[in-house]
Amino acid sequence: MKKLWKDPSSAFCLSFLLLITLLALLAPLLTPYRYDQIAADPLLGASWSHLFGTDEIGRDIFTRIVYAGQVSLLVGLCSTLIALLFGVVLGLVSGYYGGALDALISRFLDGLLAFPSIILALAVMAVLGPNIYNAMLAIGLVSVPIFARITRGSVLTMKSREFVEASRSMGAGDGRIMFGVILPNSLSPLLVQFSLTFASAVLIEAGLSFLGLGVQPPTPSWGSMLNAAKSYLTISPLYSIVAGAAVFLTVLCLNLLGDSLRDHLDPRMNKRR
Amino acid sequence: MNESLLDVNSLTVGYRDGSRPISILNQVTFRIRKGETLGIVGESGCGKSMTSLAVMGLLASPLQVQEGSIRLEETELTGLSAKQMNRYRGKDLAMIFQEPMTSLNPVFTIGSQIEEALAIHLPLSRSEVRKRAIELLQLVGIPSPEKRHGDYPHQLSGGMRQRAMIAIALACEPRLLILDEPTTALDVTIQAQILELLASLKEKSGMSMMFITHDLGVMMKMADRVIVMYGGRIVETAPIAKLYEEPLHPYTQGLWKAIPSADTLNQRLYSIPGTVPDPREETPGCRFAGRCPHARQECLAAVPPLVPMDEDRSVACILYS
Repeated sequence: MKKLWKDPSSAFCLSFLLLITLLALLAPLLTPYRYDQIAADPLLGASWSHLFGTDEIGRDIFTRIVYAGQVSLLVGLCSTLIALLFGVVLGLVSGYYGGALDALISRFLDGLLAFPSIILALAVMAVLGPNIYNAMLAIGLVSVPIFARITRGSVLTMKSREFVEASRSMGAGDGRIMFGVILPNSLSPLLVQFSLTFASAVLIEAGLSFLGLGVQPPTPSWGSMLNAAKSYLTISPLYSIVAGAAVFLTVLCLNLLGDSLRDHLDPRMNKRR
Repeated sequence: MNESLLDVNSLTVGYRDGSRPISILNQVTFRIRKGETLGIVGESGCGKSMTSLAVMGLLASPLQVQEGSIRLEETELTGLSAKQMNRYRGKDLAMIFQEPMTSLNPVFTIGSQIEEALAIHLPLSRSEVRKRAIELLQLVGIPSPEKRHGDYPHQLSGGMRQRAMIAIALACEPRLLILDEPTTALDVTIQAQILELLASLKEKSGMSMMFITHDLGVMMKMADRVIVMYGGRIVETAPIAKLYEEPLHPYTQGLWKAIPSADTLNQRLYSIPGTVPDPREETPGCRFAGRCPHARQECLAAVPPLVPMDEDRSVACILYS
């Protein structure tokens, strides 16, 4: 963790992510407006009372950006946790037991991977109906296969290691070996993937909301704000820019953070530096 | 001292190749008395490790016990489910593996790994478990055990790691400790220390040991009785002293001749010609016949049975029947 702060790129990413998390958490304290409050004339430019101007019906854009941050980060976090939970369990079970069960789980996951993730998430949302919880589920579902594959791969390499055999010789049962012995040895790739999947979850959420299938108005979301802003691109470019920048910077930072985590956690990469 | 702890009776282990059963261990019969150390010697691939894995119930599919029984005192181990077997593994039976470098879990401290072993079988509180773990570290001769308790395996040397492995294996005071070449991966001085430690631990606890090695010098030091295995069968069994003075089976004689010694310094080291036969090639006769200097026509006809020579030694060779 200390090493991450020493590396300038990951230090920047960490600080930005902390900043945006704090902004989102402290939103009610930071702005005098509510996110659905019509505070001034529509489409005003930047000013001291409206940092990023106002939107098409006169709501404060800064307020909506930070509240949207709550939604985007929450959806991103929850869907990544859902994916992690199911992915890890499926991966452990299929890698550990192998055979027909492994084939069944792996083919199912291959099936999920065959769809582009945004299309799959769209389809799931269309079936479940658009709201924030279904968005978490849908985005979580599309990210399950990647976690399952990483876990399965690492189970396969760990399974034949001597310390696993040694634990078995001490009387450890299957569950204890899977969760207590193999899983702790597979954490670093999962941590890296967590960061990368978090980024793509934020992106997919923005995409869904942009298409009107994600979080429903008046709750703000970066995606739906971008959608609204695109009609006023010439009159109020700042609107699009801040909404886009919020998504862009968050996703970029999560991805870069994932990369530096990988660099620091992978001992083979460490030697080269 | 004469009561047996482990009774293995005509144990046959193998797998099925299509419809043809292939046996890797064949009719292996031996027993280990309470407090006794039984050594198993033989070349690589002769079934030593397979025997120990079968006793531990750790045979990996497709390998399975095809015939025979393994009894731990009153309990028959062969038919037990994985869950029932887990109650004996670690508690009554413990095993130490060859590679101390890879047998410890790299992401946990050695203290927590000992505590884990305790927690699986014994209903102890957290502080009791910790206290016991430190006692165990002390018992196996790890200096400043409180400090080492929090060390990760990569912070320890090979000898210390093997000591930690021994501490884990001894955690629940097993009645039988199986050692699968426990010192092969260590250098000679450390090897001597570990053997010393094992001998003194055995003296203190009165447990039985099954000691697998291909190092006859180590065997001399550790074992009370020795089984010589070849091609998945027992070819000779005898107390170590008798085996040393007068090896009967040609294979045992060959093994003995292959030990380097000071007076054969400038000679080419003896080795038994040929290699261990593939278990898939079924031969009706003695498995060793192809490499045996005394082989005759009859050797190829039937497998020689293990014939008792006197009260505590037997040999499976046509020369003695």
